[in-house]
Amino acid sequence: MFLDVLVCAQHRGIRPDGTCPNAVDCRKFEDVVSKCIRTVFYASPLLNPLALSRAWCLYEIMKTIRYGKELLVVLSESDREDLKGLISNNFDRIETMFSSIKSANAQATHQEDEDMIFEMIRRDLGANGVDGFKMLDDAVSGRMRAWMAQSGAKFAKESEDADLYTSVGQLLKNLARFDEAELLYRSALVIKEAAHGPEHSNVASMLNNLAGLLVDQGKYDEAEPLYRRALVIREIVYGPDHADVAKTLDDLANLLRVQGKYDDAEPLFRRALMIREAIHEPDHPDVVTTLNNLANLLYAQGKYNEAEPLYSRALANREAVHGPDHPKVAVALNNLAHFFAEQGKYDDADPLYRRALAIEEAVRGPDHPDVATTLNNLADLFVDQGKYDEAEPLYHRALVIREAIHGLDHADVATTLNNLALLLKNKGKYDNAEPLYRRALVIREAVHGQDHPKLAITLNNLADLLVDQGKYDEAEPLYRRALAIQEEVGGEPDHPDVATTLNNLAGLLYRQGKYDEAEPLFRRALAIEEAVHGPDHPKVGSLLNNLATVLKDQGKYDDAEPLYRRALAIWETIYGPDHPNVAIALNNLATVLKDHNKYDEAEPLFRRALAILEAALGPGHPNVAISLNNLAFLLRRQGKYDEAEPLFRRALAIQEAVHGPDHPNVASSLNSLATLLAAQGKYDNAEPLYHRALVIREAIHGPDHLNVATTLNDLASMLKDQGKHDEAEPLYRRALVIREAVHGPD
Amino acid sequence: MSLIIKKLAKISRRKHTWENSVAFIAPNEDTRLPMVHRGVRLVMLRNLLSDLKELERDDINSGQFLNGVHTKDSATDWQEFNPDLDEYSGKACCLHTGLSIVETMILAGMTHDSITGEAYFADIDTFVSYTWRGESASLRALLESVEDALSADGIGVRCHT
Repeated sequence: MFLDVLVCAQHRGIRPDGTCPNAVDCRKFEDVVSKCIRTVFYASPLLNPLALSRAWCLYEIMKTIRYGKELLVVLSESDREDLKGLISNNFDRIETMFSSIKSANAQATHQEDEDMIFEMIRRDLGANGVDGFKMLDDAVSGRMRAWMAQSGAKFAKESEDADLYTSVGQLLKNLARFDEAELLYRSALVIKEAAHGPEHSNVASMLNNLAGLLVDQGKYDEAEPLYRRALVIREIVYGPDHADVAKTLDDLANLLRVQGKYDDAEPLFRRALMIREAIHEPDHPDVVTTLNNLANLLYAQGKYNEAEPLYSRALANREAVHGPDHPKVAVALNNLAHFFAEQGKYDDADPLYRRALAIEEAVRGPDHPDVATTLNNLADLFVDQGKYDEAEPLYHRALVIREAIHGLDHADVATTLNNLALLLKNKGKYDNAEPLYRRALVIREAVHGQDHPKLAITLNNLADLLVDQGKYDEAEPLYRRALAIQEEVGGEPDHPDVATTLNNLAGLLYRQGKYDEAEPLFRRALAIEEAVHGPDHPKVGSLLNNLATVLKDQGKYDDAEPLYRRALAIWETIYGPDHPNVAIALNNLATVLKDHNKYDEAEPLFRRALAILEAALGPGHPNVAISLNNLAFLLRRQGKYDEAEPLFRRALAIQEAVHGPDHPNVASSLNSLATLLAAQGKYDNAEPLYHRALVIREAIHGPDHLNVATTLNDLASMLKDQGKHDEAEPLYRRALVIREAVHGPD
Repeated sequence: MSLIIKKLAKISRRKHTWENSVAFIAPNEDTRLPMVHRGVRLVMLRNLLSDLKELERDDINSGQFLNGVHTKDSATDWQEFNPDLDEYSGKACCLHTGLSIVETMILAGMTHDSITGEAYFADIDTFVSYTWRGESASLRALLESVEDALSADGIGVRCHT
């Protein structure tokens, strides 16, 4: 073996040729590691392995990892005994003990050694903008966690001790080694049932632990009966008002919330809260946990104003109890960030997600499912802000983690595939998005069966994509299958998910001009949302908005206007006056006013919407482009061509910058600008824009899409105005054929 | 009976002027034994442990082993090295060669256990990463742990990278 204290020359004498034997030997460490079978890493003292703060040791581990050698962690004899105690009794310490590795802070006795090692870390691990020190920290802590898990498994195997099984199971669970953890939990349950009988409190604890593990794996149906059995035992053993009863109530309610069973969950949360508040002080972590969970439920029910203070309180409490870098703090940060994101408070959400991510990466390692979840959330935030290029690599990283941890066919993999597909759809990369949706569909069919609500969600998503591609005939049966699952198989015709699909299907029918079919579906969806969430929920606002749009397009302006005004009022109340959704409502209301020739009323609303979006999303966001278009259309209608043109041009520039030159939104902007130029008689300027729009629309949607018909019609009109009747006629005829095919002859 | 340390110290004292704490300048690299051939075997570690016990140095760390039991800090120990204060320190034992302990032992012909005949050295197959100073940095504890881990029924825990 290689022990530098024995193997290396230690005197620092310099030879006449300027070389120093000690320096020569030290520079051969990499070569030695590469030639060894293994590296033995001496990790004592256990609670503060000094070697992890020494630059040379980190360097040696780095090289061991780099050359794919075995890393053998050893402890002193006394530390080996302490390790058992630590695994059995001190999980919080284990959670955080390797997160403090900071190679950038490591030291060497001699400054020149430190400089050399740091330079190697930067050079060897830090290429292409990657932080080499962070990479090394992640690699070392990952290996140390794996070692800890392996030690625990070894101790458990030797012991046949149910408590140690449970502790090690928890350790493995935290490392996302769910299958191994489940095996240990189930073994511990068997041992405890045999030792104490089926109704002992220890059995209830084990049932609760196992159920929690199953929830982490998405095995909700398996988890629920275990929680219910644990609850029954605990109520019998302890009576109805015991802390352990509250724990199971809280866990079970959380599971029901995740399953969307809000009405079942709420009374359990409230009972758990009542018990915990009676037993503990108001700021006890258990009380705060239930408050946090209840906040999640309130949030899901759209009761945002009630949820926010609970989230903030939970975060402050967890920071106070666990310190700023604990995984529970990361969960609270995620919750509050998600809340802010949904409120459109992106700047508030962003740093919270990033802090949560940093904690999880440091404590859990970079490849943990919790990291994947936060990556997903942060990517969602970027998508909401139109920052697609920043979001995409995060989704990809989340997908890699989830595939590695759970396998290719896990439900969480399907979720990330869905998210990534949605991103690609938004970028206009329909061909890339579709296979991801279809893969998610296959996974969910395999995991959940043919009739599961999650399958309906993916059917909905895929149908949305097909709608965007103009493949209405393919989309409709998917929506109807989703609806059937949700209505008939789910057995809940008034579930909010039914309303979502009704809304989407109605949207499809609306796009096809089937207003009479769309309207009752929007009305039914609205009735469901009002019944489930009450009259002031944001989803009610969305449906009011959609229904109003159908009515407006049927010329029923007087019916549409009050619905738009109600939607606006709801969103202003829920989100505040400066939320992007408020801008959407303002835009729509302004549009109906414009169509009703109330230009003076419409213009300030369009301008307010634009100001909101520019402030909330930045001047380059695609929704700003839509808002610019709307205002420009109004100005054009008023004959204010000079004011309209720069707005159309700015909208076009945004769309091209965000989506590239061949996106359908670019085609829309080209068409709009061309129409304006044509109206001003600038035919030579307009014509190439029409042709470019036509090329894009035919390429994206195919030659028989309604958008193609629109451009054909507009171009034909311009040619007609120029007296070029022979050129105009075939375009008009082609547009007519398309519209008859899509809408029918009437 | 000390098997290694006292013997090396005696040779070094005989070959090097004791007043001079500057080591002999080691020969050129191409005449040295290549690093990969300087691996130590468990038998050598066991004998070294035995020596430490005999010298009542059970609790010294690697820094003290090399620079002297009187030294305390890695930042200064190499300056505090003084063979008069600790003739059995690793550096004192190698003053006459300027080389490593392994190379110095080989030059002195100390290549096998004098009782069993087992070889002390072999090609390197295991790199040991550890610290020289600080809490739990006792050389004895380190060597015992490594020996345990590498012996047939060792209790070290393997973790494939």
